[in-house]
Amino acid sequence: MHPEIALLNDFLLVGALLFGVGLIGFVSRRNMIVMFLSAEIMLQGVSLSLAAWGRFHNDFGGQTLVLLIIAVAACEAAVALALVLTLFHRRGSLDIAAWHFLREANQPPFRDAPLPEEPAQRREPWPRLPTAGVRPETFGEENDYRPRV
Amino acid sequence: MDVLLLTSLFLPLAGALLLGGDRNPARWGALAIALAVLGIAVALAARYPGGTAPFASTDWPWLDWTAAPIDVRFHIALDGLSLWLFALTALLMVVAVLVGWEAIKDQASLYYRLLLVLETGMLGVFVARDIILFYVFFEFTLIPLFFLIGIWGSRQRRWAAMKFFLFTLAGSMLTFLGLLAVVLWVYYHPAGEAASGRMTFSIAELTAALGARPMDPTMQIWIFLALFAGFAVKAPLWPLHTWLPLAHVEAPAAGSVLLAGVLLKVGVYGFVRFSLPMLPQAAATLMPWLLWISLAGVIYGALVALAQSDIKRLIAYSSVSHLGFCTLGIFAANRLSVAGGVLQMVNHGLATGGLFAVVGMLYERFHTREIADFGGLARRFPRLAFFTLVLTLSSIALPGLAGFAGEFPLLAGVFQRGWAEPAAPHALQLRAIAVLSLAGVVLGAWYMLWMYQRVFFGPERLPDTSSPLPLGEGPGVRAAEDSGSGQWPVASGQYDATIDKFPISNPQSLIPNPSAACPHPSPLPKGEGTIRDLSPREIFCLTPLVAMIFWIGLQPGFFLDRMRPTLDDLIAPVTRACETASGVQAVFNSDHSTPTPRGRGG
Amino acid sequence: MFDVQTLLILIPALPLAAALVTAALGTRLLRDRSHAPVVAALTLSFVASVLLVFQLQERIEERAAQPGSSRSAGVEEVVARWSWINVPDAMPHPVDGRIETPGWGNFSIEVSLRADPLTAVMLAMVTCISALVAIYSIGYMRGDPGYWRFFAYVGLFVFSMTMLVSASNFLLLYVFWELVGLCSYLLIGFWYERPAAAAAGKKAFLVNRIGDVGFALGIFLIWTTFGTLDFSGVFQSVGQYAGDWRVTAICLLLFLGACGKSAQFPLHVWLPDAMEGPTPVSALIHAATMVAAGVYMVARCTPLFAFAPDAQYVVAVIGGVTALLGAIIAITQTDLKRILAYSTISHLGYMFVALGTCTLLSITAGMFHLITHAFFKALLFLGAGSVMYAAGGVIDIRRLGGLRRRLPVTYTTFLAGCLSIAGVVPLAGFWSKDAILLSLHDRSGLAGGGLFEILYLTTLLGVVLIDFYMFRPFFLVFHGAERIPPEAGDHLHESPGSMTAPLVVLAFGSVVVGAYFEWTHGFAHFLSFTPSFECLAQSGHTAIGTADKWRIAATGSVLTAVGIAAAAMLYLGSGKAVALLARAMNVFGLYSLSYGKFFFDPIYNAFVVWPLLSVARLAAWFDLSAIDSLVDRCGRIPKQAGAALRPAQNGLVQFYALAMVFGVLVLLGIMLM
Repeated sequence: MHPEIALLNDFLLVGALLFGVGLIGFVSRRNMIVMFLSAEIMLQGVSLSLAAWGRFHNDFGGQTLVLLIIAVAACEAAVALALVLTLFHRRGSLDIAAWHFLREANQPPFRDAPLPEEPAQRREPWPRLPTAGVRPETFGEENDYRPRV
Repeated sequence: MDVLLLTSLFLPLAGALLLGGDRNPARWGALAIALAVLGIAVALAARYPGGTAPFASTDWPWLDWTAAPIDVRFHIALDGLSLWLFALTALLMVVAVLVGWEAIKDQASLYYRLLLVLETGMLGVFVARDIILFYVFFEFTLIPLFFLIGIWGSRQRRWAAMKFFLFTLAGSMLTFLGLLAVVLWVYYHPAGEAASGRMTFSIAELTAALGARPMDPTMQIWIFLALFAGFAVKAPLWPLHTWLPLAHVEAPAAGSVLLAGVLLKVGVYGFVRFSLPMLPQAAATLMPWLLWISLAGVIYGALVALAQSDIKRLIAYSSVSHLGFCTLGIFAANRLSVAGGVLQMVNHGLATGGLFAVVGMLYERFHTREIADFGGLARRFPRLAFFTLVLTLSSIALPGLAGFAGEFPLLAGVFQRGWAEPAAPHALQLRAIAVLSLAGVVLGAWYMLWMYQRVFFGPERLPDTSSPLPLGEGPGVRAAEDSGSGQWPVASGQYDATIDKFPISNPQSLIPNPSAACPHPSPLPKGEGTIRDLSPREIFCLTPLVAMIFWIGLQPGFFLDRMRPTLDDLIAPVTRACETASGVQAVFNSDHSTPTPRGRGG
Repeated sequence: MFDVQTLLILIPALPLAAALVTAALGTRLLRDRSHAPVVAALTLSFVASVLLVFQLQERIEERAAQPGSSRSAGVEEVVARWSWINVPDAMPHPVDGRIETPGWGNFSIEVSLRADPLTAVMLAMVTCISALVAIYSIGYMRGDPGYWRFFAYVGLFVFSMTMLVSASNFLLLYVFWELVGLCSYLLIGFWYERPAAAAAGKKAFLVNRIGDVGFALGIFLIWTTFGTLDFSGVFQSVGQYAGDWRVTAICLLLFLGACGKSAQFPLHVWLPDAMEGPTPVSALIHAATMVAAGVYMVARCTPLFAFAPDAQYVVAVIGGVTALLGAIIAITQTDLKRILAYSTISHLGYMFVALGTCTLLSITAGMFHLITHAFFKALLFLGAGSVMYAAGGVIDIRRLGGLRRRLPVTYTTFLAGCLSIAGVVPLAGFWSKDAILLSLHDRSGLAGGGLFEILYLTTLLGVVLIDFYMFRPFFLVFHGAERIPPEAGDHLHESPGSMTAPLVVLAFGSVVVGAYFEWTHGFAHFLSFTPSFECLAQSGHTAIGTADKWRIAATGSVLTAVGIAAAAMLYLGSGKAVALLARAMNVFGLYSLSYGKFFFDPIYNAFVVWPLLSVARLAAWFDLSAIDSLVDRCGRIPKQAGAALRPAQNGLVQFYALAMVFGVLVLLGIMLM
């Protein structure tokens, strides 16, 4: 195998692994910040393969795109974290399942199956990372916020 | 370029854009424009030279793309088929403007503007000579009518408007596909040796090309069915008719007049203009089926009309029956039947359009359309009774009036198709159809005369008009009703409970029983002065219809002579296809310079 | 002064013009003078018709005087003024070797009128009776709010009727056939506020429509068989089709039309109800003229019937059945006008028996009976009207009695009518009845004559019945103890002059017209020059001996005497005999059958009207709950599809992300494959 291709293969493999890790993280975690980080990892995986392709084709197209992605990701991080913070202030939880306004009007909201009672813990004043599968805690009746469709 | 035709087509559109303000300027403006268009239509009819060539033609390039070979043109013209429907539209438009003169109080200027837009659409359908242009106008008529029904209709207007719109649109989508298929077929199978490299949308060119190189028979049948989908819904043929009674009942009077008078004809017009000349083989193959469907419409429509208790619904079902006659004539596709069928289209527009106008006038006076609410109107409303009688009699094809002039040649032609023309495999079916279709004539007389008897004869019974205006009339009541009417009903039955009851009038009245005690006539409503016989405006509105009914009835030759050359041209391919199908050569005098005494002496 | 063509146009044009004038000016200008234009026009039309008869007579004499000219050529004159429809080459040439008529396949309908002896006779009869009835109506209808409307309708009717008898093609015949039906509808329902009148008008129209459908089918079959609708074209080429099923079918279909119009079994049910109209209308339309249109049409189509023996039998049998049926029902009815209506049905049946016999002798006899019947039946109806007028609208014969002193003119003229209809020598009815009997007897001697022998006997039985049912109301109303209904008030008196004058004229006609025609042999001779009857000239008939003639006349007269005597015995004496007879007859249910009019109306209602209405109701239900609900179901498909896909939109971000992943995987899979 041509060394260039072997090199490309390695990079692409790492990129794909990064993307896969990010993807699995995105769909399996419910913490908004972790999900955001997973999305970033996916982006980096794609960026890596773009850079590898750029190297392989010997032009700057890939790198240009990577720079663009980094810039966009930075903006995104700023906006997304601000949004996450706002959402947290609303509900006091980072669980993504607390928010499901996008569901159809007459669909039941997503509910977790009840888990066995956890040992009592001191309530942290800071955001905590909930385990997956726990019923999200919400303040007030969520339907108050539901816009009329 | 023909200025007159262009003016008549775009004057209403311009009017619709410019009219505005209060009710008075709007309605007078609309009336002026409708009259002007009628004047132009009369002038065009007077100038019509006869023959088969298109007349008053304007042909401009429209979508002439250099990149693609598409050649869509703005081509409008009249011929022996479209001229009469064009003139009918112009005439009924005047009626439509006048019939809602007093009744429409809400948003009157919008109403008249929509009417004018509708007029442009309807006129355009008949004058378009380009498939795309035709289709644009074909669909364009839906929108103003949708609003006319949906805003100014009665109780279930929203539901009716939506059903009418969606039903018609669903059919015409397929029609559009069919029309495109015709265009593409001709493009990929040019008649001559050399392909022109130009995709023509001209109806005349397509017909000629398909005449020179007919389409593959199976393909013809598929395309025929696609065209059929839209035209049959529009016409409407049984069993695709159910939008019609609903739309008619809910529409304001003007909407009903135009719907029955013009829009139903668009479907039949489509059959004559596209289906028969372009797909003759399919028309010949499917003929028995098409005739059976038409016959089903004739008899079924008449039977259902017999069981109606609402005048407007009754007339709507009578339209199904009469349009069944029209298509019966047109699908039988010989000289007599097609000429009769097209004339019958005009007649139906005059008679049924007039009847809907009359119902509108009754409704304006009494706020009800239930037959059982009326009785003995002839005494107090002699003029109304006279006009209704003429329209009714024309509708049941009394000789001397228009209905007969169309129906007789039509039925003679259908009969001839079964008995005297090549139709080898289906002769027996066609004969049965011809004989059975006459049942529609008897039933037609029955339900129309029964309705007339119950409304105009007998002891006087006037509806109670002291109750508040029914929904759809007063703006206040309307708002309250609106919240509930936008929903799709669970079952259609819930929307019209009246239908399940048999006509209220005691069917014993079929059996003359002199000893039956006359019910006491209801006391005259208070404020009697408000309910009068026809006003001059209403007489002015109905007189032209009645005059035309008499004219066509007494001198149908005048009209038939001016439409026959075109129609003969249009059905010639079908005649040939029938001959080929049956393997029999029919001999017409015109094919030989001298009459051939075939078979004489053996 | 006037040639045939002008007269032919004038005769229908005058009533039409009068009707239009009356309709236009009736409400404002004419008011209670509305009769003036119509009466004037009808009188002038009558004069024109008489002139027409003389003109034709002149031509016939010229023709007869010319040596060597064949008698069978007939005399006719056709005048065409405008083309109604003209579709050339509407039908291809026949492919099965049938013969083409000249002008084959041209659907060319001209409004053309023809004058030949048959038409001229009908025209003279129609205009004469209608002029007299119009004069009578001046008195009878006076003060009615619809006075002008009545005369406008009558004018329109006479126009249609005269056009009907002078039409020269089948389509035109059909047109005016329907138009007289319309006039009948309008005039039956003249007092439209009475529910019975309105319903009767509609019933008449609808029953006629059923017949008309047969007529129309016949016309279509004529069109496809002969390729033309002109009488001359069809009649010329019918000879080529002898024995063809088409001709028989055409004849039967046309006869169905005639059954409707002329109230023959089984379509006779509308005529008794039609008596709801004003009495002059009953006299004019439902006794003398319009109902005779069916007879006229069959006579006109003699060339077709001549080649369809089966159709002849059907016509004769239906005629015979109707004659007996009408007579039997008439015996027990109590409404004078309905008795006369059933009598009309019965007499029309006689005419059809004569036409079905289909020899020159019988057809002229049938037409002869048509003319005499028009006179005496119009007379009887107008007489009944006069009684009604005097008795305040009461027409039930059980409530009237002994009016002969109060209404001397009516009494005398009614007696003349009764004697005439009964066939007493030498009144008009005798001669025409005798002619029919003679022709039946004559035909029974020919091949296939057995049927006609039976019909001959039936007719003889009918003669007794006629006398009985006509003299029964006569004796009850005019003789016996005086019974005056309270509606008449206390001033029951003879009708005004405008009403009695037509009665007298008609009575004179009923007495002499038969004898005059018979002794001069003018009528049969005149009619035999009708082109339609040419085909009959060749058909042979047995020589009728003088002995036969006397025998038949004597038989008829004896039976007449028996009938009258029976009526006199029963109704001039005590009522016991009548009740006894009624009870005796009811052992076999005959009385109930007759009194219930053979229950045609209930039967039709149960087996035709109600089933149809039920089917209609079923269709309306089906339309809504099957077809329309199917449509609505289709309309709900998008909504239901949406509902099915909704759970996918559960608002869970991870679910959406996973869906995207799967989408990408599917795309990848597709690309890799």
